[in-house]
Amino acid sequence: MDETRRDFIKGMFASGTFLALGVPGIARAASVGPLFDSTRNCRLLLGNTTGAESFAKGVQSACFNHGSRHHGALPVFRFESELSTGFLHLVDLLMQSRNTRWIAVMDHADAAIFTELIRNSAAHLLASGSHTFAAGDHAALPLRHVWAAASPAYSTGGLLASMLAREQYSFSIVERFLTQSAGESIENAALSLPEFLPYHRADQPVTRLYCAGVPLPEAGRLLGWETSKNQESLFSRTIASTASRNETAGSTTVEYPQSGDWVEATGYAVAAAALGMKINRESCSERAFVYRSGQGHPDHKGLSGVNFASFVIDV
Amino acid sequence: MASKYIALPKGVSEKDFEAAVGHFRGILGDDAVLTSAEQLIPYTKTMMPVPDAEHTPSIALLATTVEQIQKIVAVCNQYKIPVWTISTGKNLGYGSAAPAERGQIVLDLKRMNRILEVDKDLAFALVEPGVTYQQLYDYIKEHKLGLWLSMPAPSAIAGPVGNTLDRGVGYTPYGEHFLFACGMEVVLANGEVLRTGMGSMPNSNTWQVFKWGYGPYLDGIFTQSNYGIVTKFGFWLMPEPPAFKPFVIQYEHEEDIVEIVETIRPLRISGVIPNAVVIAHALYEAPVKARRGDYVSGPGSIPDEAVYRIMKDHKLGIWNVYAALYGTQEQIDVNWKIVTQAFGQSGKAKILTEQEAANDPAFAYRTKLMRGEMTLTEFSLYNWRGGGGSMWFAPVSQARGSETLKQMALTKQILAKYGLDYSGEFIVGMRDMHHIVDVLYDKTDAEQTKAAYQCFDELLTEFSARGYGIYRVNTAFMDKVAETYGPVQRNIHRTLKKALDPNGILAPGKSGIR
Repeated sequence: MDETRRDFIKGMFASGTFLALGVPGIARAASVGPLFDSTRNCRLLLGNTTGAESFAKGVQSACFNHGSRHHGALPVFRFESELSTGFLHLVDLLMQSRNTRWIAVMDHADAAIFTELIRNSAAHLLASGSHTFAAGDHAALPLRHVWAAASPAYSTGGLLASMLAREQYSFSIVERFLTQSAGESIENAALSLPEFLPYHRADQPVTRLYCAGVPLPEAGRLLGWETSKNQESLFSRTIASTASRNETAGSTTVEYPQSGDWVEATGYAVAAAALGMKINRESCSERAFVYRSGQGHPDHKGLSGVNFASFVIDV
Repeated sequence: MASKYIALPKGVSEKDFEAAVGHFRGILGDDAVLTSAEQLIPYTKTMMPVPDAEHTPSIALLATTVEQIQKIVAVCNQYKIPVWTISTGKNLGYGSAAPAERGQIVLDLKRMNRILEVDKDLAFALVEPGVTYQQLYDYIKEHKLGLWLSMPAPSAIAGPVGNTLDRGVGYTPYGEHFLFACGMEVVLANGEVLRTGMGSMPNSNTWQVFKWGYGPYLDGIFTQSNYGIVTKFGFWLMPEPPAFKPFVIQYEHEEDIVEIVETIRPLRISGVIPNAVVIAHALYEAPVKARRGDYVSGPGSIPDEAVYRIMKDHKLGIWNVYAALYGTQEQIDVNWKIVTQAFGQSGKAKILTEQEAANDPAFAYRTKLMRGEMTLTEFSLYNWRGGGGSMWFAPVSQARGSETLKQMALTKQILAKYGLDYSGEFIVGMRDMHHIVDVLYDKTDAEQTKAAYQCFDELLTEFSARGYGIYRVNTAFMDKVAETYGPVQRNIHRTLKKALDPNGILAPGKSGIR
């Protein structure tokens, strides 16, 4: 490694580009355990994208609420220039951060490069998300999230759906899991999702769908899940809701903070999952939440037209 | 019971696959056999408008030697397991590192990354598949070899083997990369190792200097194909010229493409302008400087009025011609006079030199590409709409103005029908042009994703109906493009496949060949 790159890394760890974001903007909520209690470090990587600050705020809030004392506020690393001009620095940063879980947020140009860097560096990609709030009022569901995750163990959608529904956003969340298993038998915190009607499709791939304010056929169309058969014949109503099933299992009901900022809420949900918060895990290959608010569009805080990508990786 | 693998090859039982994986572990060691979802997600990510599940591999193998590849091929033959080989896997917008079909195993050669030879005097390199352009660039700088690379826009993270084998292009005088390839080593499906051209002769020292060898020239059949696994690759490098003069010429109207091409063609064929000139539309360059959302929101393609505002705000032409002169200062002075006279005749062209465009970020990254320096700036295209959707539409055109105008108009019309923008450029060969269009869409939007698929399908249909062939395409549309070249060519491809790979284990589906 050349001196410049070594100095750059040294500088980052020595706080040259370290940013302590201070007390999170989201009010403190009740913690739920057991959480991320390994000896693994957790860090936040912020790219040069609109909404990065809000996302970071949500992440720090989740860390404050759900992280162990060992973690405190997550150390934050920024790449000042875009990945397109400084990717070698990032490679070095990742390579030197063994035993670290990274939460990363960046624009889609950098995300394309970052995905390749992850593959090359042999890091483990736990989840990657694409997040868009379409500008203008034309879209049926302007706020859209799509995740690819290794398994439901890294699921973010349930918590985020709950947060966004409470703020009356109209949104879709799609999660695709490479393996169906939700992991070992665990205490699975339950969320209250009373508005959502749960459906499932038991044949392969196992799919779960939660709709609120949107009829099932329309939800299928909005998600691009149209097939030659109609949705009613493919999906069955799930008799017991996730919440009630979890309640009978005796798990804790999770509380979460309020935020009118969808990017901040996204950061919160991503971090909560990354820190090991086990919420609404279900064994399935695909899961979606579709919600249409009856109250029109809330104040977007200038964050409509924003899109970005997120990652959770282990190095 | 759920499978322990994220996918299985078509027609292969889990029991057989498990046995094969055991062999792979024996050949490579456990660490080089990737089976977990966390390791494999990056191999599933594509930018195409089809479910990633359709291109999910079963496992990935990280080989480091030719002998390992020979053994892997033997196991694949034994169990009839299809293997999709990648070098650095950076074919972004064409399928990335994901296989053509679900369940294929990925043979990732990124760890075969030795630079075997770089000859300063004869100006050639011999490398393994995992070597990146950045690696080779650093090597050449470190050893002060005075040689230049030619590479595509994802320069630093991509590599010369994968790019050339897929017949990619760059922007220097060596921009038509396969023209400058010289000698391959190929592991065949039966495990034999072929060295093409002069490489077949024991003790030959002309493998990287004379392409043709004796008898039928074979290198071509290992490009855009699945007839073998290339494990060594030779190619020529450009000696660093004493002087270099990049420039950009801007035009204000889309119809001016006719004049541009008619002016450039004789300059290219005669060698006055030696490099692969780019004629980039304003919307291809705009993402370096602007966001789409700053100019337009809502459905539909971007209106011309907004494009003109972008041009005005960011000092772009509707067409931006990036070219360069190379050689001694005397040669450049003479050729510059010829170029400025040719482009100055109509009074429509605005010619900007390096001094005049020095602070322009689009010019800066184009200049880097034309002198073989590393840049990833073109990735900013992916921020134009956001959402991670991209497909390269790549028809070939004659280097004739009227043809380029026809292709541009047809492309724009079809894209607009589906609410998508024309982010296009022409890369000028001597007699041909690669018309390259990035079909950008938001993958979080199911409706737009569906539209992108239909749009691409229609582009292929309409272009082939007019005799415009596609030179390269993503893995979701390979069969369709193969079909457009007619039954005789397809039959020849199949015949070769059957002869060289009777079990059909090597990358089935590549270029529509099975």
